[in-house]
Amino acid sequence: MRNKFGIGDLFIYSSLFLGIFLVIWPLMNLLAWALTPTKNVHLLSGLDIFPKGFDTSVFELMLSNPNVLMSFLNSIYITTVGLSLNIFFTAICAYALSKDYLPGRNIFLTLIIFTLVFEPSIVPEFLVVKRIGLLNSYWSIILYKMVNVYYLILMIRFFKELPNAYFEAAEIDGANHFQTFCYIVIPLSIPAFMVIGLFYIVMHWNEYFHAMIYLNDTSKWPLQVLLREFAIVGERSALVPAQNIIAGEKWGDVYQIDLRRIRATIIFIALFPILLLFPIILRYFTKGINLGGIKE
Amino acid sequence: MKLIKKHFLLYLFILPTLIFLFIFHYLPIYESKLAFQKYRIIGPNEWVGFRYFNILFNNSAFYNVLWNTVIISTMKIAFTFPIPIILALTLNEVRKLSHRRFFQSILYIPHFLSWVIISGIFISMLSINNGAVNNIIQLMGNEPINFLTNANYVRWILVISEIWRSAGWDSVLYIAAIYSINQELYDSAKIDGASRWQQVIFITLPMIVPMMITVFILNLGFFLSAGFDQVFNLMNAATLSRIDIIDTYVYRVGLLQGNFSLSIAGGLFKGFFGFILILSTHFLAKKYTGRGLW
Repeated sequence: MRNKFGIGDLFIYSSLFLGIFLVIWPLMNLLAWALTPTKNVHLLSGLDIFPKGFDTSVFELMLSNPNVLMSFLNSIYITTVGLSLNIFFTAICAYALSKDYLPGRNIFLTLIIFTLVFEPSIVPEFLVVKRIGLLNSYWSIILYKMVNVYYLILMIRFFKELPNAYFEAAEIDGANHFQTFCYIVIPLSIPAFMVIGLFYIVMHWNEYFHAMIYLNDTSKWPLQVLLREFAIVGERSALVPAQNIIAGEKWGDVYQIDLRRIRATIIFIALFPILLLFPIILRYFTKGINLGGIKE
Repeated sequence: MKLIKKHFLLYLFILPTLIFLFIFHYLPIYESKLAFQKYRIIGPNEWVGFRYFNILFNNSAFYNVLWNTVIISTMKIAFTFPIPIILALTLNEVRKLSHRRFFQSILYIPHFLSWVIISGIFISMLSINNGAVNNIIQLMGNEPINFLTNANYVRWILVISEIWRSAGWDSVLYIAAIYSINQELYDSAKIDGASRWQQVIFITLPMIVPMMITVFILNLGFFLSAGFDQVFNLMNAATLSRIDIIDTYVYRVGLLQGNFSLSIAGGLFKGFFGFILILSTHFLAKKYTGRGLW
């Protein structure tokens, strides 16, 4: 029996369209600001979702700006190195902890879960990073979140649900834990690795606060810190050295007129990689639900 | 002993994570002893007992921060809690799977954006100069409002930006709960002639109540963290007094003003009550709904 599209459906569809409109509209408006040529900016309002004309000069300007470029590369470096360590250490630890028979397992689990429940504040974290000499090093922001305990727990749950028969067979064949992990666990867990890996990527890409505190050297800043300094704090010298702004070089002219276009552009540059990843996130997402805390 | 030897490799697997947690979680906890000491750049720190806690509790700024945290958390829980539920129920009524997927995927996007970006977006939308909201206000013939520096609106901005970011993603839990409802319930309801609306009210809604309770209780566990990143990026000098929360206070006093001991004392206050809150809500949720934080 097929239902007809009735009043109820109309109501449901229109409220959901309103919902996605509220999500997309601000993003489209940003893009419109970024792409509208300067001469037409006065025609543009905060409500527009399409640019008045088409001009990528601000994008080009931003992507050729050494500070933006540098911070973009920094973000990519931090994300890549961080992700590799995250996945590797989370996976091996989760594998070990998924074995109920491991003596001392509960002690380790308690030690790990305690860190979820009791969090030290920012100053002692800072002091420790300083003491171990990681201040102003990329490693400070890579290592401080080497293993995310929530993702670790997700992965333990996932490994526990793998059919036990595989492990018994491996044991009979005389495989040690490392071999079992490489040849049985990894191939069976690709979807789980994908989902958790994507979460880790987003986590690294969105990092700004600790980077702001731990990295004094502005050339080491990830994109989010630069974005914050420029678009939120309003510190214009984050993009161009202060003397260039005062001197009003060529760059500086565009700069004065197009502050809002530049802000929109740089927000969009920071947001774009996430939008690129998004289809992959969705693809693995149904599998992700199964490994989320949702299944009993 | 034999067992330990046999599983030596497994311990080796756990070791890096334990070392990591030791350095980045347990050492800072140990380092928090500074709350009971006077910090000296040269020479050993001097033990001063609870002096910094006394300073903290005799400071009206701290009570303001505490109040802000309580009020912002309460507002957030009260106003953001129902939205994902309504959203999940609405999404569930979309019969065509491909349409539902489409709506869902777009609604999930904001969850993956950083608070820096979201704040940038909100600052742009709320701007007095050609911001979307003020454009609408002006279209209706009213005077524009400078939302970002207006202390009366700023807490609402926190609530609304929180909804914008998390409503879609948070509905995932409820959607999963709806999926697991036994289809026979709906079939027998249809035989009894229940309308679509009645099915939602008398079957779907009651069946996801356990999930609502879990989410609600677990949210309460994080009551003292009213959203650092959000406040940090949306506050300014004009609105500071209204949205300064414990975490931003601890950051400002510690890292901007350099008063380490006082900052850690504030951090320990939050850590201690947060510990009690998270632990008790976890066990409460576990006991009544069978599902906790871990």
